[in-house]
Amino acid sequence: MTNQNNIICLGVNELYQVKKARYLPTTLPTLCFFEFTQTLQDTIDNARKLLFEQSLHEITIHTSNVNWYFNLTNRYHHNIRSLMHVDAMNISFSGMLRAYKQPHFSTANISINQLQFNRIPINSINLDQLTTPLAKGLINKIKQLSRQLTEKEEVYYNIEPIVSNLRELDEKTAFDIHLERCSQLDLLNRQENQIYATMTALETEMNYLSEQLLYQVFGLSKGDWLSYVSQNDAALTQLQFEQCRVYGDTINIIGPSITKAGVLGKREQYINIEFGAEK
Amino acid sequence: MNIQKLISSVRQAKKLRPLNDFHRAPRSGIDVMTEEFNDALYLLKELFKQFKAHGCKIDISFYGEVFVLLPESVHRFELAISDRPYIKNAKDLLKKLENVQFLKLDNMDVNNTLTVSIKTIRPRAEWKHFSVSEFKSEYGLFAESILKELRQRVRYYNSPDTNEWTVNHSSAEDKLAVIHFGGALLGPASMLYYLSQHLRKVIYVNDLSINGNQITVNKSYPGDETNHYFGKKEDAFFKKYLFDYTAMSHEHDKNN
Repeated sequence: MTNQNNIICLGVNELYQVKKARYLPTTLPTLCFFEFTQTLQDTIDNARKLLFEQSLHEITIHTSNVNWYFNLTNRYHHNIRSLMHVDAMNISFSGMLRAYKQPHFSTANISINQLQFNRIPINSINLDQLTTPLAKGLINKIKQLSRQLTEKEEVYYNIEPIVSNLRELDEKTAFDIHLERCSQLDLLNRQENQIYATMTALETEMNYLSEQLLYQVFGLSKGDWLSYVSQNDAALTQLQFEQCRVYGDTINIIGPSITKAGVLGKREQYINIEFGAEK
Repeated sequence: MNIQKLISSVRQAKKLRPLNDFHRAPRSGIDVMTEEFNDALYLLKELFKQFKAHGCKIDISFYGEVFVLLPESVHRFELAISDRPYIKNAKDLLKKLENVQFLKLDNMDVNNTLTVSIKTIRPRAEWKHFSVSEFKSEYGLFAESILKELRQRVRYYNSPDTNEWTVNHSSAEDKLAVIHFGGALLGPASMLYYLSQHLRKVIYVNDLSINGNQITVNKSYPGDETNHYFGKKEDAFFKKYLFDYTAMSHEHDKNN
């Protein structure tokens, strides 16, 4: 399948956690070469699968398929321990010379989609899959959280004007009314902070669940290309999945659009999937 | 020296090669993957046989450099075996990479890159690279084309190589590389780590000496000297990695 070879060349940047311990310039490679083979593609796919199942941010794998070129010696250096970093959208490579114990240089990120051999497959979203038991369970959970969020929001927006006025007043008249610890007014102030924290936690949980819903029900993950035909006006939307959010009873998928030519455009597009109607 | 001895001294010098990563003027020699090392030695052995048949004299330095003296003249050349990509100019690639994240190169082969490189020992001499795969196993032909190239170069030289040349020359750069490598290898527990950090900020080092139990750094002018004392751990390290190192005397140990 791969008669023509796919050699990729990358720039290399210095990588350091402690600024004081900067590394010697001669130990920094100039270029990084690797061949994008089917095996590498499979490794990346497996890593990404694990990434979404365990909801991890990044997976680091030992690799030996990278060549580091040094300009000073005009050759490849061997015996460099190399690591491949895979996250939802990108891969990058880092490495360390034998004397060092931590990676001290790294390449730029490459988008996995840009590496592909062939045209990237576009996944379509089939709403019928929302009726499976798994989907229903997840949807119920999201709905429950969504209800909780709405309740909290109601309280929050009722308290908020009072508390913000109170705070303003407190600042202006620092010596006069000054929020005493344990006073009623202070209690209100603290309650508002608490509600806000709960709301943020709920939102994060909902976003996580919606990602899981998209992954487990539709098999979609970040970086995938999607197409969706809206049920209301039959308009076709194509985009690259970058974020998803839940608002009320809809999941909102956001990402840059895919143009007719089959490349990424600049405009942001949205796909709204309603799951409230289902019952 | 017979060929077997030459090959075994190249093999011995392999453990010193990591020093080159910390060297501002890295030494030539055999730098290949560990799996490829025996193949490279076999190639070297076959080339040595051919050179000997032509009457050349071969020397191996402490750091594993290979020097060959042409029979009919006073000129020597260095020989290196390494993996290098067939890119003409890395600067072009770097310039392109300023604007894009990565480049796809279609006409490159990463698998078969073993190269024999030669250079005469002159200040501004350039390396000439021969791809090993081009010659397959015809070592006679290979050695002849190397010697032919050299004879062509040497024809235009009217002065001999630098007079003070010896097989094992040692420079301040070598010692700096040893200090930097030691700093990285032994880590913050060793004084070399801190000396290495310090020496990076120094613009010019005139001379360096590592002797007994101290390192003397001579900066820009005579008299601007600093002494740094080291212990047994560094002593053991220098014994392994530094040419011409007179080890720490252990007399005070006996007295105790």
